[in-house]
Amino acid sequence: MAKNKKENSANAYKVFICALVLICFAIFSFSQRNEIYPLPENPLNGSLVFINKGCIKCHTIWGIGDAFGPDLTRVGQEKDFFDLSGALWSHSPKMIEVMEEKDIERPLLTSVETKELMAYIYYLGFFDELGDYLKGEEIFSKKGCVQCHSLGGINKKGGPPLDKYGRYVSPVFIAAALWNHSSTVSQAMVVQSFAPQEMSHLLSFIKGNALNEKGETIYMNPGNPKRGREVFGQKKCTSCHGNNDLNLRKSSLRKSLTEILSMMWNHSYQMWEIMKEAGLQVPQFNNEEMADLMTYLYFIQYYGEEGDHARGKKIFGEKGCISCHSKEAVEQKKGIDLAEVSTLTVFELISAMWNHVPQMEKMVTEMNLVWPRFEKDEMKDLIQYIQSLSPKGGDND
Amino acid sequence: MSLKRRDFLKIAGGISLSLPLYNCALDKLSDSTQQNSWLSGIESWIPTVCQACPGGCGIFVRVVDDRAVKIEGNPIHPLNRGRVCPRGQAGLQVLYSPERIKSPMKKVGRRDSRKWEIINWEEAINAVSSRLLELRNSEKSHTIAFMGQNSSHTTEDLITRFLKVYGTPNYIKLDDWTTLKKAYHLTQGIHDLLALDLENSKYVLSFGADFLTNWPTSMENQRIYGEKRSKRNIKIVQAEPRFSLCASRADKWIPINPGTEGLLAIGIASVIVKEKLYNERYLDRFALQFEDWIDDRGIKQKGFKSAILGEVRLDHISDVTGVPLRTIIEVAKEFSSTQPAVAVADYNLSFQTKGLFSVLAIHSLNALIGNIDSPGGLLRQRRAPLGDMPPVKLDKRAERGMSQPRIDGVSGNELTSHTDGIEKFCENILNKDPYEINCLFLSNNSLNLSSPISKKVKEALKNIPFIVSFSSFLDDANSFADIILPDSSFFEKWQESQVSPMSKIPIVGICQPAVKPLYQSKPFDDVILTLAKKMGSPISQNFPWSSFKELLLDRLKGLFEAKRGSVFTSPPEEEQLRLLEERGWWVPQHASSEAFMKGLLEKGGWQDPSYHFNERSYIYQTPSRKFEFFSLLKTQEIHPEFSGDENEYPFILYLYDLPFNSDFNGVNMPWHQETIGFRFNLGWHTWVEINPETAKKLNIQDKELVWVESPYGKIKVIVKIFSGIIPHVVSIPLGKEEDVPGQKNARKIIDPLVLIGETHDVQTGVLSRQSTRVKIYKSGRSGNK
Repeated sequence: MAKNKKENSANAYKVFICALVLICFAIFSFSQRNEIYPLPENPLNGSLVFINKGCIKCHTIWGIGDAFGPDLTRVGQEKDFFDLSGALWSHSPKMIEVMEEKDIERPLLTSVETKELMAYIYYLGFFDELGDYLKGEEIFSKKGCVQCHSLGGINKKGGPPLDKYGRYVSPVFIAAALWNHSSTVSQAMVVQSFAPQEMSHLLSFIKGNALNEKGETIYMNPGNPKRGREVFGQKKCTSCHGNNDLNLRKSSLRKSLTEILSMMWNHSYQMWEIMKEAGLQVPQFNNEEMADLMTYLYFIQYYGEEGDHARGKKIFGEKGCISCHSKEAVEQKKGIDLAEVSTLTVFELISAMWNHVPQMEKMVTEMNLVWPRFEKDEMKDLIQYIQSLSPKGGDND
Repeated sequence: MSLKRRDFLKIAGGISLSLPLYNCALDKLSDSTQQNSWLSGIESWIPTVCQACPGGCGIFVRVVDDRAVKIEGNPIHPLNRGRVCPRGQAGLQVLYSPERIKSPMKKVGRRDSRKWEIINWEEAINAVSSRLLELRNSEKSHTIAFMGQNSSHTTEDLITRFLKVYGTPNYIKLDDWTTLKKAYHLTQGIHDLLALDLENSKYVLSFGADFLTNWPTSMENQRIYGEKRSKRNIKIVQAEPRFSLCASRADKWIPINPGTEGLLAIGIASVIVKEKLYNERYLDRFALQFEDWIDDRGIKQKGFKSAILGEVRLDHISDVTGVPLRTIIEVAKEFSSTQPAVAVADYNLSFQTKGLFSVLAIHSLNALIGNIDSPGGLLRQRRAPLGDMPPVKLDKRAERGMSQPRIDGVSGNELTSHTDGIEKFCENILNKDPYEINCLFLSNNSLNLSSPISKKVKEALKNIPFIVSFSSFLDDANSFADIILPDSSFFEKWQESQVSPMSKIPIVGICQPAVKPLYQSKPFDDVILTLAKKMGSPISQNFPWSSFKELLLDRLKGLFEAKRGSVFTSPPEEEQLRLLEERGWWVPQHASSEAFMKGLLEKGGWQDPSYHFNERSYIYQTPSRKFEFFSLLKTQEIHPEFSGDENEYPFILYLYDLPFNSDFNGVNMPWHQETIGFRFNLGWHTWVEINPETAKKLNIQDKELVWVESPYGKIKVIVKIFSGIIPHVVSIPLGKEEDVPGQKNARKIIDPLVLIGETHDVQTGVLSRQSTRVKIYKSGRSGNK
């Protein structure tokens, strides 16, 4: 009995050690991934790159501007960092042609600029279309908000007055307030769910009708995804959603802010119930924390799933990269040995690719090849492959 | 070619006379070459704000060796984007004008004499402060008044603070735009002007509005007009008696009888109502009294719709306005079917006997099509968040003084209210009603004595025992001053310059000294601070700033703390900021207040490019929080009235402002004076425009001198035959050849305002200058100057 107990204890100890090792490994790979694929701290930094590098001369954003090139908000939709980089590469000969035609200087990008620009283009989808006041009026009435909430001097009993939200333009303020007052939310309110954009319209109506005689306006700093991840941990969101991004990545949270808020609201009652059962308190967020968290959720899918270097190797061959970067081609000085750049970061690699497009295009034309275009995930796999190459030879064909 | 003896003598004489001058010039030239002055100058460009007019365009002043030599536009100032108007270009002539008052002066001899002696600043400040203290200590603080025009916000706040702490409610502010503000107050409950969103508008129906030339936002409007014109996505219709510069830039000019603009608006409104072309959704939600309603007593009242349907006869309107029926209908249909469209009035309509009603009628068109606070319509600017000054501490004397009624009869004793007109102010001074005025401060250019009531104003000024003027130039008004404390020009001082609320976004330009003050002038604001300090406690305690610059920089920190907008930046960055702010986000550009201030002074100012639509409580501040048609329900009141018998005086006189000259203050800018008459090649001279048909009937030739006579006076002017004026109307520009007493050999004054009688807008009391009939007859001399 004592022996069994001792054995059991030893087994338990072994299991514990194994589990610890596994957890450590998981944490290590998670943090290693975070280091290789860092979340941006201020995704709007890229707006300056967009302006200073002259992207604005050809491209519009949110459909605004006189430029003739494609709107980057549209281009960025449903593309992650690697797909955006792939699109940049695929369209570069066309871009060069247009730039030459319009006498626009082709900009070079540093790795930092590449990093900031991509984050910015990705981020554009986070910002909502402006809400429609009239649709908001209809929602305010249809969803029954009008029954309980005072607004614009019309007094109602039940819910808190909404006038103070007239000063705020960002939906984050009202989202934080809704979440933090979850314990006092009535059943009638809990059953209301919001379709995408509805929250936006509703906010537009609230803002339009709230008493704000001085026209005061309060803005928010856009969220910091990196800090948002910390908030995610600090507020124990990890208790339900896991301590890495994997589960949330599956939830497809690349949506506009009010859509994420609507999703959060639509599932809030369920979340509160689960928390209650698990003996957890509903975490409270200040406005900045809420903004950071929302932006983090949006950026969870920024780098997508991990690339596959085997698929990358195949792409390397199929897309004709091999024509210039095989051992033989390197010896003939057609291209560089990609193993030499395998230690570069993804941003360095992408910026190097962009900066060398004119030379590469010349080479492709001389060799009568077709300019390689990358479809979804192909750039990611190719990068993964390049990064897997050993600088001293290794898997280098 | 033959040379006559007379010609030879002329040439020889000319050469002999010009030789010494030539030598002289050569001496000067060689001196300057030897001194190498063309090469040695140290050059700098100072970002500042042009204040040659109330616009507040951003400029750079090129300074070489401490001398301002050129003005260029600031390319990132959102109002003018690097452009400068002719008046702005002439700005340096104000700085270096030989007519500037060079040091403080004290009146010598009788009140009405024009003799002064030069005194130093200490003596001047002592004289003013001791007089102020004397009045205050004898419980007469309320018997001082300050007269000023619209100034920068910080200057106005400083004056308000000074008067409040001293203890007088009499801050008399004159403003040509008062009638528009009243109209917006009656309909929307706001005390502000509205901004024309020209950028997003597709159809502008302008009722004589000089929005491209004489608005504070003209430079912005010109830029947008140019951009939109090149894309052909705007239509402008200008209804005006005269083919003005704006009319010449419009797609359609509708010649209209003077004073009937409001009536035309009612005609257009009647078509829109009868044809049900109005915006029902807007009127349902945001308007009151459009439909009939039941009042508090339970009695049914006619709404705007019934009033229009019942009382308006289009054929009658066509007769009175002179606008064909077909045109009225066409414009009404175009206006209501083109989205977005906007109807605009301006200060010109204030000077009619039915000015307020005209503006109300024109503004009602915006409500009918629902283009208030919507893109392309009329918007209300959010004011710039300047930091607050610390609250004032009033002693009993100040409280007692502030509890007195205002001398100009404006109800309440709010220092911020504008006066209804100077006439009431003068009458009350003369009648000592409700009390006498013992001291008057006149700010720079605040009082123009060229008006129909100049006699009354002069009488009033004579009745004030002590007048202090801050004028930089001698003119008729400050000839009554006992002390003159010359203000520095805008090239020599600190100022904050917010653009007019007629621009949809708030912009704060920073005016900083480009050169050191010339002569012995001092910035007005610093003089006020000095006076406050000189008077000692408790007044001085409320002015803790050592200089106006310190106060200004203190307030500008509010822009940083507000966490909105940015220092001036390139248009693409501004666009980015706008898009973000519209969605609720803002990114700080500067890590600290110090860095922000540095950027602010380097770039020239601050702006907030976003506009948030549909904020009801900000746009409608009437009790109903809606657009109220109530003040528009008596449509029959809109017919204009003219003084002078029609048989004896067959022509209606139409006085208009020349481009970039709405305040007539261009007299010290000769370059500007030269340019504003160039269209008719008449330079400095005043002219009367007569239709060719009229000229033929009267047998009058172009450039002939004629008398223009009204029941109140007559002037002799040059005739300009001009098909851009309707036959029974004659037009004369204002702002030419003014009275410049300080100038040696001043030209003879030709003041068209002597033709005007003391007629007023029946509702506002504003003097009407568009309601006089005149006759014209030959003077018997040629006007070919």
